[in-house]
Amino acid sequence: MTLKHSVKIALGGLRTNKTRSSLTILGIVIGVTAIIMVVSLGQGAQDLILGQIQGIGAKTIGIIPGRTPKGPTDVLATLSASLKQRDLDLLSRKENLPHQDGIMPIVFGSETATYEGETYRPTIFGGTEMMAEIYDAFPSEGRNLSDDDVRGSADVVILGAKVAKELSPNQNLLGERIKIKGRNFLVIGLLPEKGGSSLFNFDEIAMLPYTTAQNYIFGIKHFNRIVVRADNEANIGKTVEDIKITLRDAHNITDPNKDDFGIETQADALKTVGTILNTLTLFLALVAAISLVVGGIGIMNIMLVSVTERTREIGLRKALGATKKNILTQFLLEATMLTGIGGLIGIVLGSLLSFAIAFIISNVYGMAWSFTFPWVAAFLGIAVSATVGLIFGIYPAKKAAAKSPIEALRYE
Amino acid sequence: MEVKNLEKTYHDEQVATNVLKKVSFEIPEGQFIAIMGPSGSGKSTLLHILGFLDEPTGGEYIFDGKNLEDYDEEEVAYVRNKKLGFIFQSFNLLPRTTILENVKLPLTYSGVKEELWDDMAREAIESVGLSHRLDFEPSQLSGGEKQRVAIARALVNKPQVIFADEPTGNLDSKSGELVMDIIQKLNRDKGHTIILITHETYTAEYAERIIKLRDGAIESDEEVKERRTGKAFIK
Repeated sequence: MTLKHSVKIALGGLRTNKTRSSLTILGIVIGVTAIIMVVSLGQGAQDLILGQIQGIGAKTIGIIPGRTPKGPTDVLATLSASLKQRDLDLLSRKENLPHQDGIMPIVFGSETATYEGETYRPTIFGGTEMMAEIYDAFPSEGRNLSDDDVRGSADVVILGAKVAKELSPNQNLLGERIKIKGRNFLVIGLLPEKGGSSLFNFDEIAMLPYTTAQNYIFGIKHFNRIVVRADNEANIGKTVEDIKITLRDAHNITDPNKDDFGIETQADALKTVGTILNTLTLFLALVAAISLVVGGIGIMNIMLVSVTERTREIGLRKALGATKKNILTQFLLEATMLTGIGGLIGIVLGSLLSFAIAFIISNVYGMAWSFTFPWVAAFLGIAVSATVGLIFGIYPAKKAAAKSPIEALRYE
Repeated sequence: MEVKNLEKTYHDEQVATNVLKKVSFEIPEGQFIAIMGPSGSGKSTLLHILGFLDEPTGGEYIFDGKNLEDYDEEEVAYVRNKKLGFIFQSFNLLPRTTILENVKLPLTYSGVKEELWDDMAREAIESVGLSHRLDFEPSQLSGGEKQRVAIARALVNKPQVIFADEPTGNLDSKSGELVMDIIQKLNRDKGHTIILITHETYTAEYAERIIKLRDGAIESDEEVKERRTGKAFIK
């Protein structure tokens, strides 16, 4: 008997038991749907986050104070005042960092702001005019920070959309004076609403000149971070080395293990985030895969019931000339086709749901979330579900094939 | 076909039951033979062995010049499919499957080209007068019609021997007569060897020879003197 006939017989068997067949594959459908969704959404999230990190600028290098933490509890390492104005001056010199194309110190913290009785606690970001460029946070109204603001420690502020709204729900704050830590600040710019999607929530910040933030808000002489931009992506490695040499020289460090500063590049960040997301996706996909096994056991259960219920049919087929192999093939094919069809439905369903979710996220929440069809997961989904059918179908199929025709025909 | 000293013993919880005790006889090709006996006489067991569905525990069964022992699994399946046809008391049609498909069932295991299946099945169905029921399902047919479908299915591969195990057992007398008419006609017109199992003398008398079994042994083996002949098969 050809495979074509076997497939026909198996399909016939499934068709005569439509309700049971469709209920049986539900487990597989759900399992594969879950896997497809996890992988597809995981990919979408990864693309989004990586896109945002890249959006910050692949050419930027972050210098953080303190030595590299030795472990999760080594918090003290990062609480350091090791980056000071002198370092900034040294790093700004072209002879120290020949490939540097902009440098900006950052200080940040949290402080209360008030306006006509309304209060809000924004994140204070002290920087320079470069900040808008690096973080793509240009004011939609008013102006950006200027060199003069920084040099003169001007009492000016640019407000994030949420901060402005919380302080004054109805009135436009541009040109008004608000109080931060009891000091008057002129609102020179308002940021457009960026949504909660960004890694840094720019809706909740108040941007000041770093000099102002240091002198009047936080009362510190050091920086929380220095951002250096390289003139070219190819020069990032070189610039990192230059920074290290300059800072070690300035801080009298001879042993690289005793560095009192750390350096982060976007490449590092991309790698870290990518690894975390991949691990997470894999983990979730594995959890979803467990449901496939459960679905497989369901298939075996139903196939066993089916074999018992169809004892007469099996006996009859044998009496009419079916060999053991014919019967084995028929039941194995039934199980495999059940799971295969379940896998296909799962892939379609999972893709549709992922697509719908991607569509909603990108349109309703305005994030750059794109739908990706997970080819690998789809292929694996089909392969795994068919294998599940094969594995869990073997036992019932063997039982069916072993039936003696007279026992089977006698069965009532 | 010929059986010599055929024996069948069932072992059940250490109790051995001798169902067949050294049964011997010969059936020439083309004969219509009835095997009779009360329940428990071993007639069904005998039929199962003759029909390649069961194996004897002793003695020999020679079919087509070859001992049953010498047939391997593939050959057994081949003989069941090509050389033997079965009609069961309880019809054994596949539910939710059309008459045409039911009759085609033996063909799926036969190696016959698929293009021919339809014609072969239709021809068999026509010979039992059910051409108007091709697309019906078994549940829509009367008992007599179901048994005629089963006959068509037994016929479709043009077997040498047709086994009929109490074919009228579940039928009213009128349908039963029609079924017996058809079976007799198959023997007369197409030359199929028929082995009929029954416990009714009335039904057995359609055959030309009756073997009576009692307690696993042959009680009598006689020609039928006044053979019952069906009122030629009516369409």
